[in-house]
Amino acid sequence: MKKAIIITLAIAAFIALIVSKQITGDEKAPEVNVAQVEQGSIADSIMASGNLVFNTQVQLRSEVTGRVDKVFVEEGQSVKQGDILMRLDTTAFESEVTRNKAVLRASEIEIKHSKTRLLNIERQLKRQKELYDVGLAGQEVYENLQNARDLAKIDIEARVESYNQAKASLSIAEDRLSKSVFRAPMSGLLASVNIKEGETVIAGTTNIIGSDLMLVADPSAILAELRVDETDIAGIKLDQHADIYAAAYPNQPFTGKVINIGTSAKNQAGSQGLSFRVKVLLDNTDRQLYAGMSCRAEIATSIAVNGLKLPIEAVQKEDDKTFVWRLNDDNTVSKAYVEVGISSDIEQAITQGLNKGERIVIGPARPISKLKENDTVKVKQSTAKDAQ
Amino acid sequence: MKSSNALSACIDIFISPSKAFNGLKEAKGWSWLAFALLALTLTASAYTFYATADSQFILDQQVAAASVDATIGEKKMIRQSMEQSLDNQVWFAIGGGIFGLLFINALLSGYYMLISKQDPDANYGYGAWYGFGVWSMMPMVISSLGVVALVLTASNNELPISLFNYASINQLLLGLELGDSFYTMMESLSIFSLWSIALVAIGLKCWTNFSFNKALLFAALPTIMIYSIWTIIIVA
Repeated sequence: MKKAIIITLAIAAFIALIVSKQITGDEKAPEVNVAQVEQGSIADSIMASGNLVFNTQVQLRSEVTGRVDKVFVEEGQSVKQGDILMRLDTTAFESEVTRNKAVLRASEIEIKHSKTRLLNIERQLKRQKELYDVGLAGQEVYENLQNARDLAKIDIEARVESYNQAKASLSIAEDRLSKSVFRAPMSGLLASVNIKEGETVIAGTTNIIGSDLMLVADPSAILAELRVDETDIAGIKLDQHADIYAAAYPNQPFTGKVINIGTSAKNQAGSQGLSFRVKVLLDNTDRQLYAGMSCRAEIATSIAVNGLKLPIEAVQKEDDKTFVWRLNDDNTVSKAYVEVGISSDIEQAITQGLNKGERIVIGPARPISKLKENDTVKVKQSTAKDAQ
Repeated sequence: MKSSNALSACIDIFISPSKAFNGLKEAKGWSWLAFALLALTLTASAYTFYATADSQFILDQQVAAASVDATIGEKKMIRQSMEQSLDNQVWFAIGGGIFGLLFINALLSGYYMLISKQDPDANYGYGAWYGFGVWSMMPMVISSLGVVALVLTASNNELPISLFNYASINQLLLGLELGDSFYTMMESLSIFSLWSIALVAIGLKCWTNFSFNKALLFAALPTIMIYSIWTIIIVA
């Protein structure tokens, strides 16, 4: 009898265990995350990457070919307009000037010589004419002298032109000599010095990348030259605000404005896509930036100022309507249909249907998808703002 | 008093175990029935669970359990590798369960044979002790039937894997969360394992001349050893 009671109790306990499991299992409220409806601005943005460049920069290239004799500056140095930056070996250029001067002088002498000869012929001609007039000289001699005088005049003209030629050559040589000394074309910073003493500079490599000898830049204004994908370019307008993240300051963005939008798509190196060049002028900053740094940018394409907003994961879709799960004070949820405005990658503007400060279920996705009207939920973790 | 046949032994093992063990002394072949029952209920519980449960929900739990400290990338990798074996999980569970049972019983049988040497009159072979071990695991039949009942009466298909351990010390008393260092240990220790220890103690008393206290000590010793070492590992 006693045993029967024990066995009955054991079976009852087992059934009770199963039943209680089932009941508590059913009643277990899903754990959800919650956020408050906030007021603030939302910026929808376009992401792009690119490099920093100086707003004003001059690339120094050589017009003459020669060996570098002396470099007077170093990279990073500040220079004033007209400062001598470097000098080529001038021996050849100076010799050229000297030679041309000599040629010029020789031309002068030849003109003098021709003029003297002309004077001589004219004197002879005058004498012969007097003799000819009185019949003492032959006509042929007289005409020969006339001819010789005309030739002498032509000779002088030719010598004068040679003189001019020599003068031009001299001025070219002097110009080349002067171009063997490089001066700063503007005041600024020497952003790069790619030449060393003893190296040979070659003239006429204007379009070869990296052929510039030096780069003088105005460091006060820095641009971000961004490559914006062709699918995003329609959203970009002049004067749009942009946050620029340089690799050196990954968490502290620089701010700037779009000042130039490229008008033709270019092939992006290493990818099939086309992109446009968009220039963003960075606002003044105390932090040190260098040209050539890579950067990424978030360009704010549209901004909803001071509207209500929610984390985007809170917004659910039901056919063509949107709704959120509002958390009531008794930890039950109710469905609130909302009108939505613009959205960014993380936030959604709410134009109608919610009030500031209301608590909304934002995740995780699986429990949210199972929620029903008036379900009780357990708040897993309040956001920092919610806790305040 | 002893059970008259294998079928009655199957009932006696739950309500008056000494009768079942006394009967088993002379009829070792009964153990096949016990083993068949164990295997059958184990298969039934695993199959009903995996056939009913939402496989993605199971996956979520397994990933969460396997990657308590993992980064998002690692979780993704774990999930991918687990997804591949998702369809075969039921067979792994059944095969692993039966094989694990055979293996653990093989170790325990050796242990029972060893301690039985203390009684010079107890001359049972390894096979006999193996059968003894199978019978001592019979509470698992009840445990598995409980799982089947829980699965069949569940209101939706989101079944937690911890449902298998519904009678564990953790779920009944402690309520530790996943990620707690003692969670797995306390989940594995259930009232059914304590029942098995009690059965072993009763069985040892029937098969040997041990006092009940001595039999209980020997029955509980493997569990005490395992959980002591486990605790030391967790604490250290």
